[in-house]
Amino acid sequence: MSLPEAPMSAAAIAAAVRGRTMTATRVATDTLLRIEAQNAALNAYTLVLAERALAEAHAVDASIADGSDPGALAGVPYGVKSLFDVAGLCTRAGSIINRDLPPAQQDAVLVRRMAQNGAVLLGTQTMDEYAYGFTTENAHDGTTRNPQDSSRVAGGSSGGSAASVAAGLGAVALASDTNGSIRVPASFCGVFGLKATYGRLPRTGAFPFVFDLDHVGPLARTAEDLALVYDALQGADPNDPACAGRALEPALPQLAHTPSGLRVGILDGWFHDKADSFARLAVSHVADALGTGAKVSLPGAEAARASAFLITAAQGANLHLANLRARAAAFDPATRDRLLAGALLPAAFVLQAQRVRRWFSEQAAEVFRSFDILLAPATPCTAIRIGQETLELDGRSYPARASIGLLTQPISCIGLPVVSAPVCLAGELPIGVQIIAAPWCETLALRVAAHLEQMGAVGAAAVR
Amino acid sequence: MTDDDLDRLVTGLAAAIGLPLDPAHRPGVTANFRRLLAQGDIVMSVAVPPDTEPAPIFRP
Repeated sequence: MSLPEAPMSAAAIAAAVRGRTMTATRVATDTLLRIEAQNAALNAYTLVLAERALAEAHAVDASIADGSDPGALAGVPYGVKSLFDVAGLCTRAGSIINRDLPPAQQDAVLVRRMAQNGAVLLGTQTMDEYAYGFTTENAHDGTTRNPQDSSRVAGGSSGGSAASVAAGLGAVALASDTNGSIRVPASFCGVFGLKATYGRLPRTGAFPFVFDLDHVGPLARTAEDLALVYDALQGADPNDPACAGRALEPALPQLAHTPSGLRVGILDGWFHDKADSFARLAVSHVADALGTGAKVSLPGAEAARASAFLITAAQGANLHLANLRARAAAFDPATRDRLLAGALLPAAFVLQAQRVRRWFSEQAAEVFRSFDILLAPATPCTAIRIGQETLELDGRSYPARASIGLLTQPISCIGLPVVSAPVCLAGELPIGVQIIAAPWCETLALRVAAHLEQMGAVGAAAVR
Repeated sequence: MTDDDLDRLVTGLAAAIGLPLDPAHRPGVTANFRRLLAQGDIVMSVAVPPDTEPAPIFRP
């Protein structure tokens, strides 16, 4: 049985493989062929691991032949952002510099959990250097093109991961989100992305960027797939000092429970002003489907975004200071100048930013006394053109690359769980809407996303 | 802050932490540093209560 033209969901692949109507080897082979045909144009993968993929797929098929259950992700093909450790490879994180590092001794914890559940790793994916960017225009690895419009960026920093999912070069992908790096490319490419609560998913074996803000999580073409992968990834890990050690809270069994009586608010103020009219329309579209028009103010969003901006620059610079001193010219120029500037930040700003972050989390907690779910655009606009320098918002011109995260940064700054759900209106590029829940309430955000998808209000862009 | 003031500040801070700056990189660094200072002004304008303590491990 061959794969149909439109790629199957992860859930459908796993069901077919476990039900012996399709082999994992066939799925892997067909997906590798799809990558071979399309990756040169998209630049989603930096390295295709065909040998490993086929070995993992054969192992899944052998397990099924033996009467064993390989797991909930049996035969699901996926890629990882090139900052996840893959045994035997150096973890490049989009850089030249990291190519001098020794190869990883073992897979990152999340990659191991994917394998333990029967998933099949296809390769590593293009990103902004060291995850410091929103466009995946990488001076070393090239630009990832948006599968919906090749003249536009895929978003970043997980651009290769989102583009791979949007183009069917993998059913799902693993990525990271420090300031919006899952939600921004999900928005631009028209797929679902989950940034879980800070501390939920272990980052062990993922090359760091900003310890206080780094999250890891999945991208997928359906809300169900997002929940399926999220459930496989959950669980504490003692080697991530920020991992909170929460009990497993499987989302998939809850997904079909239609949320009722939810108090849903549309974030106003900053989240309205820093979005263009189409981004606002997308939020209204989702809010209408949920039967709400309630506006809610979240005081301090601008300061929270500034905090994220400063903490990112300072911690990112500190992480890379030795290389900034010794070989600054080896960095991607865009990353280099941000990191060099971050190294010079006065402590007063950084320390104040940390306290503002705590203060802002208290503002959010107050809002969540009255609301269960908050809505906001994931990006101020749809995908920008490759090389575009400015954005026009609220009657002003903004530097494009620094401003794409205006609406994601205040949310990740305080670690809230978010699903970015794609809104695809006829004749328009996709755009994501953030479905934001209170801390540790990922399941609720996923249920709302699944409900909206079932109603047809959100859904991944058609695979081209 | 004038461009000259900013340039002197960048030079002094880089020297203080032993960070060499290639002249070719300076315009980009200075532009980014100016952007960071603007963000710094925003956080400094928040009247954070004295008992607002940044947690060593942030628990949202």
